[in-house]
Amino acid sequence: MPEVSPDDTYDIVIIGGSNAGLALACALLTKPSIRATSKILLLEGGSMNKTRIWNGEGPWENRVSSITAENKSWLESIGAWQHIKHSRICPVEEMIVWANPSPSSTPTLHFPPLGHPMAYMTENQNLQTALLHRILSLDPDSSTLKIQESSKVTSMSLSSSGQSVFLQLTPSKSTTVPSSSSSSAVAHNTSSEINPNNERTIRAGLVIGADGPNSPVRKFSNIETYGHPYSTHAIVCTLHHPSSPYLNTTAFQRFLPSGPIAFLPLSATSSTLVWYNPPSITSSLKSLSSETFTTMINFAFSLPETTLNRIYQLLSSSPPSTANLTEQINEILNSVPLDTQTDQTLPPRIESISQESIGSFPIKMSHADSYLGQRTVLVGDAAHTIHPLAGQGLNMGLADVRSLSNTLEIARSLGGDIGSWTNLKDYPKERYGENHLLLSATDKLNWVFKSRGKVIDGIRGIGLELLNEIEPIKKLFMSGAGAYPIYTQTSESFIGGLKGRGMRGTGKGKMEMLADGLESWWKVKDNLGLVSGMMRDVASTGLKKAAEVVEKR
Amino acid sequence: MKEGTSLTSTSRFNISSVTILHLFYPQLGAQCKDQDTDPGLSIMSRSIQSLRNHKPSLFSSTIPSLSTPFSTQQIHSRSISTHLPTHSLNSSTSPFNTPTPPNNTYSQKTSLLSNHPNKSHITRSFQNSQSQNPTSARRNHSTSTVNPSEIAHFARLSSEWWDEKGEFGLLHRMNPIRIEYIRQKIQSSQYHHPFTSLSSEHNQQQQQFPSEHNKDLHTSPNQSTQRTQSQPLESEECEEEWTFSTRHQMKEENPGYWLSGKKILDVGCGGGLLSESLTRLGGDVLGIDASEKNIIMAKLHAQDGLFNLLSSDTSPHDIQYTGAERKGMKGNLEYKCMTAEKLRDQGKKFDLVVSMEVLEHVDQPEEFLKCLGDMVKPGGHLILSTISRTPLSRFLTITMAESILGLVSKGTHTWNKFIRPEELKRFVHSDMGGHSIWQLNSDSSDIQTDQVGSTQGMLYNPLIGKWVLMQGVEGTFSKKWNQGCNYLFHARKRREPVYENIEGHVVETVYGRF
Ligand SMILES: Cc1cc2nc3c(=O)[nH]c(=O)nc-3n(C[C@H](O)[C@H](O)[C@H](O)COP(=O)(O)OP(=O)(O)OC[C@H]3O[C@@H](n4cnc5c(N)ncnc54)[C@H](O)[C@@H]3O)c2cc1C
Repeated sequence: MPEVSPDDTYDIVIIGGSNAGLALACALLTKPSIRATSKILLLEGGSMNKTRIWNGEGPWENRVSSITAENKSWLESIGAWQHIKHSRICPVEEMIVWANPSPSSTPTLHFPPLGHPMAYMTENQNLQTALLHRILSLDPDSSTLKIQESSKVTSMSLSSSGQSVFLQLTPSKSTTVPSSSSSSAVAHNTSSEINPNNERTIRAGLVIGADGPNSPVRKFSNIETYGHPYSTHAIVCTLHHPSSPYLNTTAFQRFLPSGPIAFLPLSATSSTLVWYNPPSITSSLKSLSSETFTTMINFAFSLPETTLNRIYQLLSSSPPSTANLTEQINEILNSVPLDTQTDQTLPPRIESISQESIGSFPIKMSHADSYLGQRTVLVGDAAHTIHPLAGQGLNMGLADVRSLSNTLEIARSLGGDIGSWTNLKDYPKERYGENHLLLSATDKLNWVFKSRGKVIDGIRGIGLELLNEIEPIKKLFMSGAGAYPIYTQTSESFIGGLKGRGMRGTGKGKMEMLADGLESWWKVKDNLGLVSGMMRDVASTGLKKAAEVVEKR
Repeated sequence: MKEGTSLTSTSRFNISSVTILHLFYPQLGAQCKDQDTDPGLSIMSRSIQSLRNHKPSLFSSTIPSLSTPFSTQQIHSRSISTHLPTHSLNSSTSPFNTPTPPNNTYSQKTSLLSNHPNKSHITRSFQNSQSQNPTSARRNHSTSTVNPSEIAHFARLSSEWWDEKGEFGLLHRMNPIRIEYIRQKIQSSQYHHPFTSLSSEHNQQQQQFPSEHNKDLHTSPNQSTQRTQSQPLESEECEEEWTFSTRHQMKEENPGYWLSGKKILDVGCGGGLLSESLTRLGGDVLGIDASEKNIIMAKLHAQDGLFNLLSSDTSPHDIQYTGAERKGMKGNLEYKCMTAEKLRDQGKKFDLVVSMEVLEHVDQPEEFLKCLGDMVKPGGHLILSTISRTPLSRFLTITMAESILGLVSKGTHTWNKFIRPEELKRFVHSDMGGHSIWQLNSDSSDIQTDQVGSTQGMLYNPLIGKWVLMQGVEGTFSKKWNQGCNYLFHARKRREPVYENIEGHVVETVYGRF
């Protein structure tokens, strides 16, 4: 067993200094018992310089997430939201989701304004910078939390008695990030005393993997994941449009045969695009000229599917000559009038895109078999990755963090060993089912709405209509999406007890609502004679959730 | 066994020494491996079983002369007659006479130790060393005589004991709630309580109009004298005034280290589960156990992890928690293989004496309780947990475990040994100084003037996989029901004793208070 000095011994080591990791570090610092007693290390493989110096100016980042009202009020409660650059967030008041499987049918799911924003579009960078600043204001002299950046964990092993974990750290290759002068406010918080040429061993009572989808912590813990890639890539980019008399606070999402396309507001004149396509189409789209891509985006929201299909065929069949492709597409586009089609409310017409903001990400669905290893815990994308179409990935991670930090605080306030299974088990108990429900519902939704064929078309159209019809299911969907702010400044009483997912303001309890939903669902389903694996699955996961709720009472 | 020697004529229980082997349930671990997926009933029975098993030390302490190797068969055949109790509180069954049950679990474990050089120490009877034979406890500190191969053996036992998903899982799950109870009891005593605020007002008025009686403390101390002794001291601890608007904002004092500065004794510490938690909270903890095996296990466990063994070979007892030390508040942990009685005889006193799930295993609860009471400092707390003697506990321990599930052999009526909450509280009243030594509860339960301290039930809820601290008002059916199996007991010692007045009543009563 390696010799590790007390200086290198930590109660908690958090791997990953991105959304989940920073949020967790911040949350733990607001917990009195943890803060008073624990020594925490936040380890980030990359450089955090950008996070340190980001000041809310400059072009929009392409990684933008919707932060639900629920998570926003939680971030307020830990004092992090106050550090958000408010010029760079955009409330989402309304959401319109639709499909257009046949010219005659446009099933639409409309989430009308609630009287308060259901979510806030926020650049991931904005959130991370706010969290880091909050961490610094909570712990200015790093007496509780140390941040170590540009240092990767390369191996982990359990001590012989199983009471601690040894972690091998190696400086990242790209460690030569010049410490920027403007980062002085933050720089002292990071420890730079390690010799970059040396590996080093530290010891932890608990290792928290906030290390993203390829989580090394998960691998070291031998935790398998369940899931599948979507053979889908998401293109993201920033869109520019003239300001309209309507506030740009509505999110739009259209289900196209190849996958959804989403328009998410950022400001009066900017929005962000997320467009899901098979990898080949994605790369073709990315190769289009800026102008053609802009037109393409506008058409993707407005053209009937039949016309779009012709373009898709082009895109998927002819990767070679880009110029040719642009030409052919323009040909098709010119042949159709842009604003004839539909009475569907459409997003503002886009004038241009930021070429440099174009990025693409592979999308996969995965769920770790367990959130707990031996003295290890997974949060955020390390534990689950979800199709972003419902905008839940980061939000699930924040909910994980909320739950885990409460669990740890309770354990510590009772003198418990925070790395022990007994003291951690409440966290997966609280989160696993909830996350699984969202994962599988989103997965099924995606499957149903992207599949082709007559039957599927039928189900797809009906699916959305049903969701709209059946108020309770819609509400469940909404509450699952965290549209209701649950955390208020005075709601500390939620700690350890109830979960913040109640149905505030709807007279019915969650169970009742769920029962209603299921009942009416089965009724409709019988009438239509639909045998849709999708909803049955959603329903049975819902039942699982119901059982969970009962357990918690 | 030295019969009759420990008999205390004043004991409520009034039982001569008994030589009862406590019920040992066979290990269920082998039968139901994954307790998470166990159906409720088997979890409940496991819970019972774990409670039995987790104190092998005390089981062993009740086994007389185990210096000779023994087998299950031998124990089984050791049918021990006992005196019938002359007094039984409100049960026709004697709490203390049962035939001897067999014990597979412990005998197996103990036989693993049969080659131990200090076997006689390990198996020393709690009772033997307790009263008659103080010298027998002298050879207690024998940790150093354990050789390396045995250390490996103990390490294995220790990891078994500490395996949260294993045999003792339910005990691990019980730990948080026990600490929560301690927290409630200790911290509530540090705040202004609406009632205490009232009474201190009352108190001031009294002091403005002192009566003649005040002068004679011993014969008729009235409220004001007795309050001047206890209340002002108590209010020193008060941090914040209770008001409706601030009631939610009352900050927990010293979060994470709310036991710092407190001297704590954990009697029957077993593998050290509770002791370690108390130490992490800043407590200055001494864990004692009559079983050397347990003490070695506890030490081995504490040495690894984030506990540091600071002084190595010379003094293997002092263990400090590094995290605590870092923040300038040092938690201390020390383990000793010894009996409570011996410690008491050394004159040791503690701010908090805890003994969890032990009482039901000792042969002379009356002596044991008095001994614990003696070691509580003035103003200190005594906290116990044990099992009640009710149809519910009989159902769970006897009917389910023995008859239906067949997990233990029939005829093991250890149930009779359990003590009911009201019996315990009456005993503290009648034999441990009553309200002249122990404080009132400041709640409606004070109406029971013949009982000292408060009790609260603890039930395992298999659905949520947690023990739950049950609420309820004393005297109601729900309270009676929910403390029908496992329960916790708390009593706080007065800073100074209050003496009885001429009528023979303790002065501070619920009537005097309101
Ligand atoms: C196109 C797209 C759109 C999305 N839109 C939304 C949305 O609208 N709403 C929403 O809620 N979510 C959305 N998401 C999901 C969201 O982005 C992710 O869920 C979130 O970023 C995950 O954060 P994380 O902190 O868990 O993981 P990551 O952000 O992946 O962070 C992992 C961190 O760990 C570090 N790390 C990894 N390995 C090591 C190591 N060995 N040692 C040290 N450090 C290491 C990495 O450097 C990295 O900083 C979207 C995702 C995509 C792809």
